[in-house]
Order: sequence, then C-alpha cells, then structure tokens
Amino acid sequence: MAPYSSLVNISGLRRIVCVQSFRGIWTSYAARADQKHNLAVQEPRSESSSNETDAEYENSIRSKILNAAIDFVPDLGWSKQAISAGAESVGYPGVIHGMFPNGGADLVQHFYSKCNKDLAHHLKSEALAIKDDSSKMRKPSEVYVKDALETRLRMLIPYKKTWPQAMGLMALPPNVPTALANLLTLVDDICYYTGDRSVDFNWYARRIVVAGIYKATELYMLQDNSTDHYQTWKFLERRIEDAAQLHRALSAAPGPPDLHQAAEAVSAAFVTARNILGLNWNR
Amino acid sequence: MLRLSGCRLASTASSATSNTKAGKLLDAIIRVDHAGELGADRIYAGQMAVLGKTSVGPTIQHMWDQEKGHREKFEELIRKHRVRPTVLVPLWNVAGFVLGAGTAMMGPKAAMACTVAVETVIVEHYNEQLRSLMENSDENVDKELLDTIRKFRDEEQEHHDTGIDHGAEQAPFYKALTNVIKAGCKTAITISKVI
Repeated sequence: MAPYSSLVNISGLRRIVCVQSFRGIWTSYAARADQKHNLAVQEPRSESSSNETDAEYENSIRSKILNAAIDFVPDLGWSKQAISAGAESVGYPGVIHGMFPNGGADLVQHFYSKCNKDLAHHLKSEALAIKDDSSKMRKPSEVYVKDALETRLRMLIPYKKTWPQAMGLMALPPNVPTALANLLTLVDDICYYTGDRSVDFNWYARRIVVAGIYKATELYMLQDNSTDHYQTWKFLERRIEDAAQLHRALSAAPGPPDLHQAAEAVSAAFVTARNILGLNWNR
Repeated sequence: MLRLSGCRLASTASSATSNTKAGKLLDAIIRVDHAGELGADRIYAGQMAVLGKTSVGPTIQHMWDQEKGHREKFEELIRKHRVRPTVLVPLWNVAGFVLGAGTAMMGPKAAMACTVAVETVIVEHYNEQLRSLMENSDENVDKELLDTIRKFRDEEQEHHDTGIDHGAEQAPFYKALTNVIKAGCKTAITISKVI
C-alpha cells in the first residue's frame, strides 16, 4: 500500500510540475508569438483569461494535442512518442507528453470517447431524420443495431494494425474502469437510439448482450483479411441473429403457465399456513 | 414502437448529465424513487392477493392504484432522463410481494402496520430529497421532478393516515414489526441509491 501511495504522490507531483512548466512554456511561446502577430494572438489570450476556467483551458489544449496525435498512431502506436509527435505538429514542444501521465492510455481513451461521441451524433441525426420523415420506414431493430455496430467498428479500421496494442493497454488493471465506462457509454447509446425504453432487468440484459457482440466482433475483425472486412460483417450478422433467436426462445418459452402454477402453489401454501396458525379471517 | 420525441432527443444523455454534481443527484433520486415505488406497488399487490376479498380490500385497492400511478410516472422520468434503473429490480419485485403478503397473512391490522411503517420511511425520504434538490440546484431546479415528489409525498402521507385509521397500532407486535420494516426499507433505499 505504502509504495503505491508514494507512487501516486510522485506521479501527481510530476503532473503538477509538468503542467506548471508547460504553463511557463506556453506563456513564453505566446509572448513570442505576440510580438509577431499582435492582434491574432491577443484575442484568444484575453478570451482564455476571461471566459474559461483553468481546467477548461487545460482540457482544450489536451484534446487539441491528442487529436493531432491520433494521426501518428498508425506509425508510432498508442504511445508517448505519438503524443509528442502530435504536440509538435500543432506547435507545442514534444516534452509536453508529461501532461499525460498515463501515456498511451490517455490517447486511447481520447480516441475511444471521440468515436463514441461521433457514433452518438450519427445515431441521433438518423433517429431525427426518421422522425421528421414519417414516410421512411423504420429499420427493424436487429438491422439498426447491426448498422450502429458496423459504423462504430469501421472507425477502428484505419488503426487496425495498432489496435491490439490499444486493447492491451485498456485491459491493464488501472485502465479497466475507464475501459468499462467507455464500453457502457457505447452500448447505452446504441440501445437508447434503437428504441430500448425498458426500465427493468432487460435494461441490463440488452446492454450486456450488445457489449458482448461488439467485443467479439472487434476481436474477429483484427484477424480478418477479407476485402472490406466482408467476413467480419457476416460474423456480426450471425451474432445478432443468435441473440435475436435467444430472445425469441426466451419470450416464447412456456413462462406464463409455469408462473401461474408457481403462484397457485404459493397461495395454497399461504392458505395452509394461515389455517394452521388459526389466522383465518372467515372464522 | 419508437417513442422518440424531439425534446427527449435534445435532452442530454445520462452519460453527459451524470458528470455534473446536480446530474448525479438527479440520477440517484430518480433511480431510488423508481425502485421504491416499484416495491410499494408489489407490497400492495401482495396485500391484495391475501386480503383482496375482505372488507379492507377496496381501501387497499385504492392505495394500490395510486402507487401504480407513481410507478408509471417514475418509469417515464427514467426514460426521459436516461437514468439507469436499479440492478436489483427483480429482488425488490419479490421482496415487496413477500413483505405485503406476509404481513397481510398476519391479519388486516398487521398489513396496515406494514403500510404505516413503509409510508413513514418514504415520506421522510421524499422530504429529504426535496431538501437536497432545493439546496443543490440553485439556478435550474427540475420543476417537474420537484412537483412530482411533492405530490407523491402528500399521497404517501395519506396512505400512512389511512393505515392508522384502520387500527394499525392494534396489530400484534406493532412496535417490533414497524421497526423491523422501517430498518429494511432504509437499507433498501441506501442500496438502490448506489446500484
């Protein structure tokens, strides 16, 4: 416990130091740019001091660097090197990767949540389009889920070669909570826009099934070499068909009669117990 | 099948709202209240299964109908705010029915004592929520939720009074019975807030 907490302290300290030194670099950089393009730089600076809080300011720079770093991932992997290269490409010094104490994991997390947001946006506009134009028939929910999952998986294709590394990073114990939260956001969006409005245990069952299908197909895609990942989409279709069959089997199972018998047995037990205890109200 | 309204789509996702402190509070409140109303619905269902054909039947039926309305309202709020329902829905389902049927088997007065105990805890709980909602959301307090909770609080208080009127206090082991049920309800509330 003790070494771990001291480690946290050190990394926290390092982060503060890095942020502060980064602030120093940024102000000096801004001051230099100021002399060159007086007007151009003055505006964002005054804006940043008045409107944005420190955290927002830091976050906007973080996401700017990470966005740039994603372009370097196919060559450099999900690593500090990619972050450095990205930072340099948008005009920050390469040592700025110290702002990201988790290194590659921060980059993966950023990419993951960015893709989730894109997908949510896509699904939302699709749902709105269907609502506006009632003549358009709504796709059955199986097709809808398949399309959503395919759209999301296609976002990974440009990074397919390095994606196993990202999956490995996110499977490390400290990153597991973030990875799970990301996956849950993804499946929650898909289920919500597919029209799932359940408020009982089905809420969980549906999300777990969709998450399972997503993860399985993701793994399948990594080793699929067919043209345009044709095999992967076939695999995805089969998994969804399986889930739909399971759902049909469960809902068509002789549940009601069984339930009815159970209810009868319980009420018979109640009546017997009541009579034995002499609590019968008819007497 | 698709019941997406424009405003529902425009409302932010739970993943977005739950990041803020007020959003987290809203999430927890709707989740625990839905669980509570589900439990209450099942308690009355249990009581009706045993006492449905007796003289107190219509009274219980009236309270049950109100609880069904409460449950529907919170289900609607869950959908609107994209709140995660509690994972223990199946458990509360069974536990509620067993509690209702169990006390009803001890006689109508014990059933009323159970109602009194449950409603006391619920009224306290709703009052607490109203206070924390007032405190935390200074600028944009969710008017709908506030009004809903206030209205339901009043109806639960009515149920409590009905229970007393029907001789709940003459039930066997009234003190012990209500204390045990109250403790159980409080535990259930604490659990449902989180998971």
